[in-house]
Amino acid sequence: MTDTLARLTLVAARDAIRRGELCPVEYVDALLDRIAVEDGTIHAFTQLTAERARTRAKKLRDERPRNGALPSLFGVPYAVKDVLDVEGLPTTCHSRLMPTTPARRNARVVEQLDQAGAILLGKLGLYEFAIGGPTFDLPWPPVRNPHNTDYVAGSSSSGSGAALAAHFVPLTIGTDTGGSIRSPATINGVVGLKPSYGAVSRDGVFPLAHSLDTVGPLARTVGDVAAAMGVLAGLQPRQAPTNPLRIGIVRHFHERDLVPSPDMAAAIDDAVARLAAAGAELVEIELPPLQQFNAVGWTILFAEAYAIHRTWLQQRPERYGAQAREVLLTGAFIDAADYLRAQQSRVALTGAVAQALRGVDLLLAAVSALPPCRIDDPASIKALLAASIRMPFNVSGHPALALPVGGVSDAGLPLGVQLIGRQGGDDALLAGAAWVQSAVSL
Amino acid sequence: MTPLQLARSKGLELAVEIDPDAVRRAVEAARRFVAGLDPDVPGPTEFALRYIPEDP
Repeated sequence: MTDTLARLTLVAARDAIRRGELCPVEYVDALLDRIAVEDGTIHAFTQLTAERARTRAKKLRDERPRNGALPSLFGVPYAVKDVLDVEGLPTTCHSRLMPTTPARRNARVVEQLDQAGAILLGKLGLYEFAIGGPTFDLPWPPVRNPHNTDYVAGSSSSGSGAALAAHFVPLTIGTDTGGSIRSPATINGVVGLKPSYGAVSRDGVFPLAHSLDTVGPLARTVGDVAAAMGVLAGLQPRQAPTNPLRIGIVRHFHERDLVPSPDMAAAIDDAVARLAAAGAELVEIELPPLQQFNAVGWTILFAEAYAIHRTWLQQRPERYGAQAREVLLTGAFIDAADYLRAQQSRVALTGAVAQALRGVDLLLAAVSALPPCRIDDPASIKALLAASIRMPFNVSGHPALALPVGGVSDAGLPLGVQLIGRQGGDDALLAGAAWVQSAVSL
Repeated sequence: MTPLQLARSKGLELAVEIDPDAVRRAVEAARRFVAGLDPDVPGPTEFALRYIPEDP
């Protein structure tokens, strides 16, 4: 029974609670039982709010309105990346540097989910300050991939991806500054949306780089992500289009600008072939080289992150883990003129993405040229980061949704792609993604 | 100026003490990413020279 409840999608659980067939107390207990048994090896959670969740579930059960509409996520459990403030809990950012005093108020996103009737189960692990890589020199162990615990769970919202793949919770919240929602989504075989820049509130979220940071939902289906975006961004649900889509395929990022692994290349080719078989009109799209997007995006990210961390790096560098310290130091050596040049280049790159979207419903691109790697192999982790294809849409601010393609890597780990929509068109992107998901049975 | 002198000039003496190689790698990474910026985009100086403030 515990297993059956844990595997419910957000929408299935929400609807069962609405119909009175599932009690929030029973549901929360089932998930907490599963977490208690399995999170000792996965380490998805940094902080579990079990008693608080049980109390809230009982309150929802006992005070359920008898007549009238229920809030949209009534009784749905969720968990957040540990960079979001939750009243009464410390915001660890997975770092020794953060104060252990509890936050005095909730992040806006937590407030929205609470108002929608959702139940917080806890806070989730990440790469320290949402940058660097999985490390063993911090108070919390790195999050491991539930599909194979010898493998990474993605950068940097690793707990947000792993908690879904482990069926600990049907909805998680992550942040994406250079791909940190889309990476753990694909690596864990779930769906993650980096919304349009500014579409979801960042109030109460510890920043990495202000002009790139986005907050967004991860879940196990496109429909679940859309339900969450109804709460987080006020999106109205849209039906999946009935006619096949016109999709722009951006091949050169993984085929020419990088060298893909054979399993990754085959998985993307297979997904594109299935889209064509389902009637999609496919158009080859050429954007500026990935390296241009990366140079601009990382120059901006490093400079903005250093502005946040400078005092700590000067006065208490020993408190960082080795990886985050090294990466964050990079911003010390980027001067203001180069930062401004990167911001100016960003305008042209954003225009190129917008132009490419004019003739199609959405774009499709790889999320990475390489599959997930082992967690104990620093060289492969470095190579995996270098093979990332996520920064272009942080630079441009367009919404990008990562979803699994159904295939697996040679090591049996999930693989995925990303779909990109128009700026502010998150609802249309979600509707298109629903078509893609059903058309090719992803 | 060497990478470590540059780091010290920015008040990062403690970081240099902890792991000088990491500091060298950070300097190298910054140079690599900045070198990747499109040289055809007008730099801030050229931008400033072309900027004509509106007459209030």
